[in-house]
Parts: sequence; structure tokens; C-alpha cells
Amino acid sequence: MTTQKKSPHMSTSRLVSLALFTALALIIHTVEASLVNLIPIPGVKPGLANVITLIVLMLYGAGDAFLVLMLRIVLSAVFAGQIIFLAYSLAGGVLCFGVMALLCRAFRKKHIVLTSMFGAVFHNLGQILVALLLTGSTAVLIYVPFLMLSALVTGAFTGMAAQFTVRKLTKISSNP
Amino acid sequence: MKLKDKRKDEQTLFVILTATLIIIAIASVAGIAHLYLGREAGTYAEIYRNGDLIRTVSLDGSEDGVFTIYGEDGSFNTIEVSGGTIAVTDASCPDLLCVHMGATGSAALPIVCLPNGLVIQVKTDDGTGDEPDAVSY
Amino acid sequence: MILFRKIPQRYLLHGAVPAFSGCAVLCVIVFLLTGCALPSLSGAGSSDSDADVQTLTSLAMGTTLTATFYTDASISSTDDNTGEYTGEKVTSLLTDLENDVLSWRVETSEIGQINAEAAVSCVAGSGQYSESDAGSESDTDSVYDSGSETDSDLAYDSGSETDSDSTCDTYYETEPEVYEITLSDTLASYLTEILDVSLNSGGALDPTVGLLSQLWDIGGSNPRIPSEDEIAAVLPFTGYERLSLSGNLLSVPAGMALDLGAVGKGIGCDAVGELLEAEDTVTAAVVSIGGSILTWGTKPDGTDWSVAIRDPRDEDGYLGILKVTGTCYISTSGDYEKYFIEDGTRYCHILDPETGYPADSGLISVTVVCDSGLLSDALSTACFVLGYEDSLSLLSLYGAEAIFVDEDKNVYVTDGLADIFTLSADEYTLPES
Repeated sequence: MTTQKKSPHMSTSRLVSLALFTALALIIHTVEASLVNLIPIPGVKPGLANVITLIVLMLYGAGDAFLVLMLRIVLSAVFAGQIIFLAYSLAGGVLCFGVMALLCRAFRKKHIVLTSMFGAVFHNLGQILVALLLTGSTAVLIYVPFLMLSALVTGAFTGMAAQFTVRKLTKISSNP
Repeated sequence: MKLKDKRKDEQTLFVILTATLIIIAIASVAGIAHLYLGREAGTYAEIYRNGDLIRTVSLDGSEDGVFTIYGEDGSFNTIEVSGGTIAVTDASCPDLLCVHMGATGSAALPIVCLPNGLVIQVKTDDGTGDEPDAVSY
Repeated sequence: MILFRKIPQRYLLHGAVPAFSGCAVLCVIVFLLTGCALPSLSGAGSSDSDADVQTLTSLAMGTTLTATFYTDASISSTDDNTGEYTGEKVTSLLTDLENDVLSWRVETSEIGQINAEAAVSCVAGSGQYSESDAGSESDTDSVYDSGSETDSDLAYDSGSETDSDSTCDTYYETEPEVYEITLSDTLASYLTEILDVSLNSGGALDPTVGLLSQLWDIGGSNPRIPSEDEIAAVLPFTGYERLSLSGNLLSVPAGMALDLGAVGKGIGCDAVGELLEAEDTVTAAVVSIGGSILTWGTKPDGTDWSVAIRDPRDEDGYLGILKVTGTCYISTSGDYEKYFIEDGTRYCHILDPETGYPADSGLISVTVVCDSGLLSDALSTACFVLGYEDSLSLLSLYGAEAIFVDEDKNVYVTDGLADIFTLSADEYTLPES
């Protein structure tokens, strides 16, 4: 609740902060992708980069969070060199972000864990939809229960992580 | 609008959303349990690429072996059939999830390689599939 | 994003509550749907209901009987162990039907007795009757004129072909004698229907070709091409119009032999259909009597019956798949089931009663779908003899639908089947009508 200023131009501190957050998100995403998946089911992954999206959403607002998210998705796709992943990441990311932004607004930034869980659920639903379109096979629907369950778990985890960080950051900035 | 009403609305929303999540959780667990309880050994596997059935392999041992499926863009998946199971042993995709999924011989979970648009679905010849109920002659 | 920020929080909240409850409901629905889709996707959902499936494979009516019965254990029944009973009942029903009524190979059947009656004074054919090993002691329900000479068992075993022609010829020159036989109600009703089809098809289906089929013996132990003289000698002893049936009283000209082979399997299907009506626990069944099909009721999973039609030129292949709903009778007549090939010519078992030679209408297979087994069987034979064009009016007369295959591998489907038949064999084509 600290730094949300309505200025047409980006202040230097905001620019630096968002750039930092983007870099963080990219690092988290890259590290996560390089780890071997414990559960070998497509789409089941921690999604820790979402912690950053959530933090920016809570601290800087929807517009900035969207910017960070888009940068992270596009850049990580470029790093990974797999354009096909862009479709999955974009569909999941945009759906997830839309739902989280709405909930963040409706709950006035409370209930971060619930917000995150819902975001994760919609993220995975978006990916399933893209998988349906791209593979043209209804066989992928079998994965829906797995993806939903994993969304609930990872969503709760990232939500808690984000909540913890947001509290710390708010405290720091309110008591300089 | 008073602050109290807002709080009330927020609370309603919170309850609805929490209930939804709980329902999703229960349904998921039930779905997974159903999948695992109902799984049975398959008799053949269908390999789809981008939605098109490109190959059907029997799992009864008659077609055991290793073959590779190439895509137009140079991507590939190497598939091994042996002992009633089918597995992807090598692939061009970066995450190699299809390889990590290991071998499957049951109809419960398909092997998918999302980057290459590949789906391997094990199926069972139990008469409910393509076999007709009767033949007229 | 700027727009988004400007929405006042209270509006958002007011909109959000219904919107999210909507989403929640949607989620649940999507979930239930995918949940329902799971068993069919994984192909592992057949074990979770009271529905039970029993299959039966046996021999009946001189052919293979296969049947699948879907029973529902939750329906209370007076019988216990119903599935096995149903299978046994069906087998014994068909065996009785064959032995007591239909077979021309079993002397004690009604048809056998009629033929014995009528044929006594004319030695015909080539020892078909020698196959008889029937327990002739077993009494039948049939009533027949026991006054005339009936020691038929031996009379035909020794029938020599050389003198058979002359006997018949000389016999026919004299005034033909007519035998009157009282039929059982069952056979009388079958024969009424058969003669109706005979009349409407202009004799393309003829139950009186017994002597002809014995002469050719296609599908029998000793098939051969008879000489023109032999056929000419036998033809006068055929002709449905010389048969007359009033009430249960059948008048058969002497020397005539009945052959219900063309409709026997269909009649069997009808009989099984009636039997199933009385079986409480059977909810659905599919029965094949030598390739004549009865689908009865609706499968537990609610899907249509899928009935394949054999590829006329590939014994193991399918011409296509017919999806039918509920109770339905399907019968196919083709030149591929029983035939022999001599000097490159195929002689099939379906004889044209007019010429006395195997039907040559340009068709190689006809499948008829209708609501009676007897009719589907009778019509498929009649259509096979008539050919495609002449069959259409006959079919519409009985409200039946059909699939024709001609020798150029063109497949013609009547309008009623166009949407439910899928051609699957590559070598065949569906011409644009």
C-alpha cells in the first residue's frame, strides 16, 4: 500500500524495482525449469515465478504486474528457445493474471493465498485448453484432475510465500 | 455503500471461492483415484501427432522394438515398445517430460509431449471400442 | 490497465460476487463433465455397475449362433442365474424350431414331413435325405395327413439320378396330384408372410425351390452344375403360386419340395426376440444366427448397436458399420457365403426361381434392415435375385431399408440408412445418387 503513485511517467525507483522483480522472476523461472521434475506430468510444476507476479500485484498494482509478467514470459521463452512454450505460458499466464487481478481488487489485497490458488487453477486450465487445441486430442483431459490438484498445492505455496514477502516489504517501507 | 456491506460481500465471496476450491480438490482426488483403480493393461497404443493418428502399435509383443517419429520441424520422439509397455526413450523437446514419464502399459494415463504435440494413448481391446457388436453376412 | 484501475472497488465487488459464483458453478460443471469423460477416455469404466454381460457361442439351426446378453442384476427376477438360462433357452428354442418346424433336412420337422408327403411318388435329388440321423422317435406337434404313404426314410437314400428325370417327367404328364396338409399355427403364419413376399416380389423369393437347391447342392457335400435337362425337369415342381394356403390348410402339388433356408435364420431371430421379451433381467441383447442379426433393447452404456457388414470379397473384412438404435433385424444375402467356382464362374447358393440358375442380378451383397427377422431375411434374398432397381419398390412396400453392393463394388444405400451407415472398406465406392 505504499508506492502506488499515479504518475504518467515511471519514476526511477519504480523502474528499477520493476526491473529487479522481472529479473528475479526470470531467475526463478529458469532455475525451476532446469530442475528435474519430480512429478513427470506435463504442466505440473511449482510455478514459483508467480510469487513475483503476486508481490508486484500487491505492491504496485495490476498494470505493473502485467508488465512484469509479460516481460518474464516473453524473455523466458526467448531464453528457452521454444516458441511453442510461449502459447502455453501466455494462455496460462494471462488467465491466471486476470483472475488474480480481479480477486486482488475484490478482496482489497487480502486473502493472498486464496487469490494465488485461484490464479494457479486458471493458469492450468488455460494450459489444458491450449494443449487441447494444439494436440487436438481429448486424451489430455485425463490430466485435468492432476493439474487441478497440483494447482491447489502450488497455488497455496506461492500464495503463502507472496504473503510473507509482502508483509515484510510493507513493514520495511513503512518503518524506514 | 457502507463499509459493513462491503465486508459482508467480501466475506460471501471468500466463502464461495473457498467452497469452490474444496470441491475442486475433492473432485480431483476422486478423479485420480478413479483413474488408478480403473486402470487395466492395454493391448495396443495409438500414437497421435498434432491430433492425427499416425501409428497404432500392438503391445502384445508382436511389434516390440524401437522406432522414432519425426516432425516436419525436425523434432523427434524415440519410442520403445517392449514387454507390454510403451515408453519415450529420447526426444528433442527441452523438458524431456515425455521421457521422464517412463513406460506405461495401462490405459489410465497417456504419455504426452506437449512441445512436439505428441500423444501416446494406450487402449484396450475390450469390444467396447472399434469392434462391432455383431457382423452380418 | 488504466481503465481497470478506474473501476470503483464497490462496483467490482458487487459484480464480482455473482461473477465468481458463476465461475464456481462453471468450474464444478466442467469438472463433473471431465469426470464423466474419464472412464470412457481411459476405457476402464465397465466394471462399476450392476450391468452384466454374458456371451454365448453355440451351434443352432445348422449354423453358428453367437449372442451377447446384457443383464441387470438389480432387476428382481423369478429366475435365478438368468444369464445362463437365457443362453440355454435360446439354444434349445432354436434347435426345437429347426427340428420341429423348419428344416428340410430333418424328416420329423413339419417341412420335412410336407416334403415327404408330396415327393413320395417322384424320386428327386441326390440323396440329401441320407443325412438324416434325426431321432425320429421324438414326437412333434405338427399335424399332418398320416393317411398317405410315409415311409420316406429309405425311399430317398437310394434315389438314383438317372431315372429320376424320367420318373418326374412321366409323372408330370399325368394330372398333378395335390396333397393337403394341416400346418401348425406357427408354420402357417410364417408361410403366410413368406408367400406374401413371394407374391410382391414376383417370385424372386420362392419357398418351393427345394428340388432346385437339392439339385445344385451348393453349400452341401456334393455341389455340381446340373445339366439344362435336369433343371428343366425340376422347374415344373417349383412355383410358389402353385402352393395354396387357406387357414392352416396347405395344398402342395405332388413332387414339390419346400425349402425355407432363405428365411430360417430370420425366423430364428424373431423367435429369440419373442423369448427375450419374456426375460425380465435381460435389458439388451445382440444375437447373430449365422449372420442374421437381432439387436434388442438398448445397451447399458446407452450407445447405439454397431453392426458390421461383411466385406463380400474379404471374409475377415468389413464393408462398413451400421449404427442402429434399439430393436432391429438385419439380414444379409450375398454370393460369398456358400458358393463354388467352376471354370472361373461363381455359382452362389441363392437361386433365381425363374431360371433355376444362381441369381445373376449384378449384385454381390444385399443387407436389409427392418422390424422383422423373417421379413429382413426374405427381402434380402428377394432383393438379391431382383437386382437394385427392382428392389426399391419392394422394400418401400414393407418399410424396409437396404444396402446393396454390385459387382463393380459400388455401394447403394437407401435413404433411411444413409446417415447411420459408414462405409469403411477402401475398394468400395458410394456413388452420388
